[in-house]
Amino acid sequence: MKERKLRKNDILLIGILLVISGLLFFFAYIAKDPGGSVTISIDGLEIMELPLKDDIRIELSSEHGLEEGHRNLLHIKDGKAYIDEANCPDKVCIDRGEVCYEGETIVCLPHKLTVTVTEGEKQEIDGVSE
Amino acid sequence: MMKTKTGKVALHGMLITLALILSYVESLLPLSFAVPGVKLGLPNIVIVFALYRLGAGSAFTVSATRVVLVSILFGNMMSFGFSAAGMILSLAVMILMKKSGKFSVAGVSVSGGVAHNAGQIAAAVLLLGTKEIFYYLPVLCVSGVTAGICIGLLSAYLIERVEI
Ligand SMILES: [Zn+2]
Repeated sequence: MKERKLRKNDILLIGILLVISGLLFFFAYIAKDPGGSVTISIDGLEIMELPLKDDIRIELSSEHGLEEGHRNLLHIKDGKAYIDEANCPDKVCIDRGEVCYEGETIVCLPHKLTVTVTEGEKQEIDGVSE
Repeated sequence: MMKTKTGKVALHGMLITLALILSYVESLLPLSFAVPGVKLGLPNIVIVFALYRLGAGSAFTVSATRVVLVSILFGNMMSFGFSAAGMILSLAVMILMKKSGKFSVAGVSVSGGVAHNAGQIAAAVLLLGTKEIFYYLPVLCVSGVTAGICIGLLSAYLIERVEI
């Protein structure tokens, strides 16, 4: 059994997959825009939209539609949003770090929570001089 | 060891235990890279090994039992849904790729790794009802390919060398 040898087909397959990943990367990352707000969804349901330009600290709990006992602390600062405290088991939402570009998402799977950067009201960044 | 029925059961038990240990080891490695679902796929070594040396049925038994046990031990119903979707798609793809006879263990394992991530993303889209998760697809695709190559070469080595 010569299973160990990489065959031409394997290399072709790996090459194609890498090219597809590269293209996906290109579209996902090169064409990104800073977003204007974040949309918070729980279990697929949009519950609120917060502007990224404000300094906000909000504790998401059962009050907002999370399950009883579930808690995520969302922080918005300097145009970036991040979760700095949560009582989910995997803490993936905290590890995700800051999001600020359109389409970027913080996901907390155990709590069925997503925080997505959306266009919102655009921040005027360039082209404006005093 | 494979001669008797008891030997067969014992062997499957051993493989399941090994897959569980590898799942645990993997959960200890800080490889999440701030992206949910990026994993090395260490348990896949055992699955690929079972697929080549014992057949598709055994590979299914080992991976299905692993998913159920991991969910009971470290997860919840949500994580069970994700793992199960990833595992079924990954195994189906690997069985088909192996049957085609056109690829070596590395190719089969790479496709399994990518399919595993694709299955998890599909489950996330269905369960969470959000399309934004597709944003992670490129990262998961690249990590699936690289991890799949390493796991594939390692599995290929074990398939040749390990006596059972
Ligand atoms: Zn979380």
